[in-house]
Amino acid sequence: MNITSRSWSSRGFDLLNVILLTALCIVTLYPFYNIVITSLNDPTDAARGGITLWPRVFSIDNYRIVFKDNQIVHAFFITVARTIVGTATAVLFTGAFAYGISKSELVGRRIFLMLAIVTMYFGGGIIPYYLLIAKYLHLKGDFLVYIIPNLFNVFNAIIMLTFFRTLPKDTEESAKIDGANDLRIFFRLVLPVSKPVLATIALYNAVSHWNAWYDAMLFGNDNLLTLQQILMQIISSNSNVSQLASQLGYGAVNSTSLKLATMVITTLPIVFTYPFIQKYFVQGVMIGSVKG
Amino acid sequence: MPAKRSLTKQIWLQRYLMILTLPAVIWILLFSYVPMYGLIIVFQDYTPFQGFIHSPWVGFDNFRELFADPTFRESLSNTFKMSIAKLVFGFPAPIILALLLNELVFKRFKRIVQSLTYLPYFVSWVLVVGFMYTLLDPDTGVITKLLVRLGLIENGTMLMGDAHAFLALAVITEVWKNIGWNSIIYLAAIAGIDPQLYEAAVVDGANRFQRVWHITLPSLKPTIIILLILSIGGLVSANFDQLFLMQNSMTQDAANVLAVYSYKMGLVSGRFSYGTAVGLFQSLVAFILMYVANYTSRKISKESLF
Amino acid sequence: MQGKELKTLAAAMIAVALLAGCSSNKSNEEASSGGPSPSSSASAASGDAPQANELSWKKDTSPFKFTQYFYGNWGSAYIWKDQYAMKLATEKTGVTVDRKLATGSDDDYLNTMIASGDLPDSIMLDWNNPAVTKLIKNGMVYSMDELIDKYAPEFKSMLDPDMVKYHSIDGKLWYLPNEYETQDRLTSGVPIVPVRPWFIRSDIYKAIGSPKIETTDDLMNALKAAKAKFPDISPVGLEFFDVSKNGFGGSLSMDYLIDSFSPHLLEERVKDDQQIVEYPMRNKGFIDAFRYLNQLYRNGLFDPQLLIYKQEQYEEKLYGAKYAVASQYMNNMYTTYNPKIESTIGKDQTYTVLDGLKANGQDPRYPASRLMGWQGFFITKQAKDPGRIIRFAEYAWSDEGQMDMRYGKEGETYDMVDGLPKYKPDILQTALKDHATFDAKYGFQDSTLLWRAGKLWDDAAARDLKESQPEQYDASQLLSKYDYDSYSLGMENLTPDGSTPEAVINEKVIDLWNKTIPKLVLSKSDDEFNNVYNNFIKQMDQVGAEKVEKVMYQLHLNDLQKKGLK
Repeated sequence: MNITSRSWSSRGFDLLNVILLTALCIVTLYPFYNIVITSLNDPTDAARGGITLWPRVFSIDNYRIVFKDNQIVHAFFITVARTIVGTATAVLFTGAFAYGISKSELVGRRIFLMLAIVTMYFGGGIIPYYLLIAKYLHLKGDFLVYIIPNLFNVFNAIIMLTFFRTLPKDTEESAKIDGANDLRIFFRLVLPVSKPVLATIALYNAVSHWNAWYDAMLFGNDNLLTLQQILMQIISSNSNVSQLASQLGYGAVNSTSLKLATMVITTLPIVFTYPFIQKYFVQGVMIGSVKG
Repeated sequence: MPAKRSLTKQIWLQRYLMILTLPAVIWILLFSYVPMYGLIIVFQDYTPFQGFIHSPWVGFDNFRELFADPTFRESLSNTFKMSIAKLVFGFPAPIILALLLNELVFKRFKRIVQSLTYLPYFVSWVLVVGFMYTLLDPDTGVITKLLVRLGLIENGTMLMGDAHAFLALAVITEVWKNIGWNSIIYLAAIAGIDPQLYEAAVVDGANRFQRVWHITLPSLKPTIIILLILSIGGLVSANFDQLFLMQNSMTQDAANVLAVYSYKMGLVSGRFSYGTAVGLFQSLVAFILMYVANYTSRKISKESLF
Repeated sequence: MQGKELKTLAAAMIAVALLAGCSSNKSNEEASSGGPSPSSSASAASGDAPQANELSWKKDTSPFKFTQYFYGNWGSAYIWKDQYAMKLATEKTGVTVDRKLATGSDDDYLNTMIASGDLPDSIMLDWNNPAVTKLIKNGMVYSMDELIDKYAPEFKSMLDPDMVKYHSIDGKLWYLPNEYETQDRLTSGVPIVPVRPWFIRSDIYKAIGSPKIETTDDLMNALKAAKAKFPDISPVGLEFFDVSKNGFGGSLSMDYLIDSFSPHLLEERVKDDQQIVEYPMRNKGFIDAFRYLNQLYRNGLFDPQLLIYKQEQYEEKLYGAKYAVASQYMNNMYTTYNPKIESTIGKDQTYTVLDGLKANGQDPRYPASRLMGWQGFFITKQAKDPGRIIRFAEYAWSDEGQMDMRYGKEGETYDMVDGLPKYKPDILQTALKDHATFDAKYGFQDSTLLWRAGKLWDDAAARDLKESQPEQYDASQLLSKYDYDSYSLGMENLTPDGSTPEAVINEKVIDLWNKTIPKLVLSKSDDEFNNVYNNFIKQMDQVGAEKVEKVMYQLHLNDLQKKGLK
């Protein structure tokens, strides 16, 4: 990589690689870019479509309208809170399970793992789940309803498990000989060297918390409204029924550009987390410290 | 007796590991297993107001009806077709992207590419399908024009209404939407590779392609295999949002996958039991596929999920 | 899925009825028999009616809040947020409605609530939604009779006996239907246009020499001329096709053609001798409408993309005035599309309505049944104080409540002009120009949603439309001359109940027909068209369409019986 002198074929590959990935970037960036410029276009004019490279009639009206709704600020704080608290707790909770399972000597290891895997495929459906949360655990309308039911995720556990299995055993064993218990090893030794996978799982959790609206709809209330719920409401107002509503004269149908503005507002914060997470992907630093 | 004592002792020795593991086990039992009593409705003609206890029992009637319905069989085969195509093209794509990204010399460029390729993951399918209509418009669509110029399709082809193009469009858009997001996990795994391995390889005179082949890929192997096993389990499920939104009256045969079928049967017609039976069948097949994949992998590659 | 065709019809009717930013409700002196009829004395309706003193809601006006779920995730305008009408209601009665909407699927949400027994105090739900039976059979809601007898005996005499009869289930009234229209609605109020009319772009019409377009053949010729002069323009624009959403016409724009080619469709579907109600697809005129579309296609006048478009794609093109002839709700065209086209492209490209089309020498007929109701107001057994809620409903149902919710306070938000209420000019302007602000500030159409028939506001709505939207009023008049009263035909709610085997067959028929429409329209020859059609009929019979047709006949008899016609 940066160590050797480069052959011609290697340089040719570099060039090709850059071209290929640049093309991919354009293809993946464009729709997002289009969403942004359409949201910055005058709503009446935007309805005609055909906005491709820049706004035809520039206007920030859409954003003004969205921010007029004071629910959105409150929803923003709720969403940030559930994302931060939910991510931190879930990574720890799921990670602890994955670490335990990664130890071949653990009694009941295979049973625990099978128990978890089966739930990836089988579930009882929404009604029993609703009854459990609302009737028996009384979590409905409580902020904790965003946190506790999301503490664990099988897929994330498996990813972490796979990672923990690849960790070199020697450091842990020497720590054990020094008298450290498993809790201490997990928190002091394993977690610090697992930053890439922790960062990945944290990103997964954060994104799913940020995008969640179904639980908010079933178990939340006006004080627990989330950003995605607002987005869903605005997007779904395009349905046939809302056409009917507008026929009735009840409330106007939202314009496309207004929806896109809402989408930009509700999506941008989470999109910007990735570049921060990336710094934990720096190759080798962590593992090296284990060995060294 | 001694065996039992030793088990108790073993558990006591592992008490700290148990403290880490058991909370999640209890969570799983409570949040995933307790609600499973809801599955009994597949043997009932469930109506919400009679509830789980008082709804009439019908035995295997729901399954009998399911297997007798030709639309169901069609949807099953559609689902497999769709999923296999998505697996063949969609599974390797993020791995290739991760490898290409890893080979980039300019680190800043690498980070930019990483951040941009994962953007489509956040664009909802409603909008993606809207873009598809614009780009594939027979008269004005940029992509249609390009394909016509390349001689791949006739002028005026209506790609969104073409049942034969449906599969390809579904696969391409799915790959496009998820390639960046799915590559994250491989990038994280690559980040976990010990750099000393590369240094040693350089000393041994390995070129960069050999390094990828002999170091990077083998290091990714556990992750790749685990994700492959899980993906094989996912063969019976197809992306509902995408296909449901993409379908129209001219492509609905191609779009009739299990998820769409169970949606139409269960939710739209309000037949809870039947819809759940479809879902349960799907889960069973998925679990069996995953189990077989795991078994095969354990025999062949020694890597396995459990 | 129930009553899709009907809903469409209803939508079209309400559309016209509620133009001009005023919710109109219909008619009939008997409807408000609890007091002096609103039409005979305008002041009686405006707040100080003598009957009001006796009403039960006045007994307790202490602060009270009840929860309500509204079935319709799009209805964010209905949430009580300090709008004028809501405040006025709270001021008088002490009651606040805490209205909640679902995010995502309403069916998911409602079914989850029903299944878990976790209901709000009250529910607003389409009276013909399948869940209504669940709520009643499960004993989850109070009957109105029970609550009225106990808490608000005066309320009983305020209910229209015909309405009570039509909406009673097992001898009891379980909900108060919103927007139930009475018999004379067809002759009073805003003219009803029960189809989505077709419009022609004004400049194109002029450019082809403003020919008379009276028959389907005239239209074909006009389209040919338009195509010749404007080769880049798409000749015809229709709303999206989806049988499960839009009913058997496939697209909501098709009714305009179907009612021309088959003016007696509803009557012809009923076969008393065989005891069936036929699927419309068996009707020759109905199929001729699709044949006509096929002719358009073969003449290069129909863009096949319309068969795969979703609503958004069609809307976008219509906003860009990209069609020579386009179909749209009357109200939408005149209050949304034309103004936008005028402001972004130019007035010359706005659309003008076409007259009803004659086919085979016959005039079209538009089935203009009145609306039997929209959302029903249910009070659940979970309600902590059902007495207060029924008394609040009594207030809302009274002339005073209706006027408060619709018009506010006399002298403050409206004046009586020629015996009819009229918003103050600034409010009227807001209603017309900026409906969102009108909703957010006044909430005159979003409050209790307990709208009841009344000639007073019907006539006011008609007058306001005539004054503020003369073009739309004239267009409505033009088309409403083809209306006939389909109420007595008993063709409402023919969809078989969701849990029956016939419902499953019906779903299959819908699926089949959905796939057949594109094939019919895109046929290359008459032979191909006939083959495709015959094939469809064969398949439809194979899945058991006849069983559904028998059930539909029973439902047809039920409908007649409910209406007291048989």
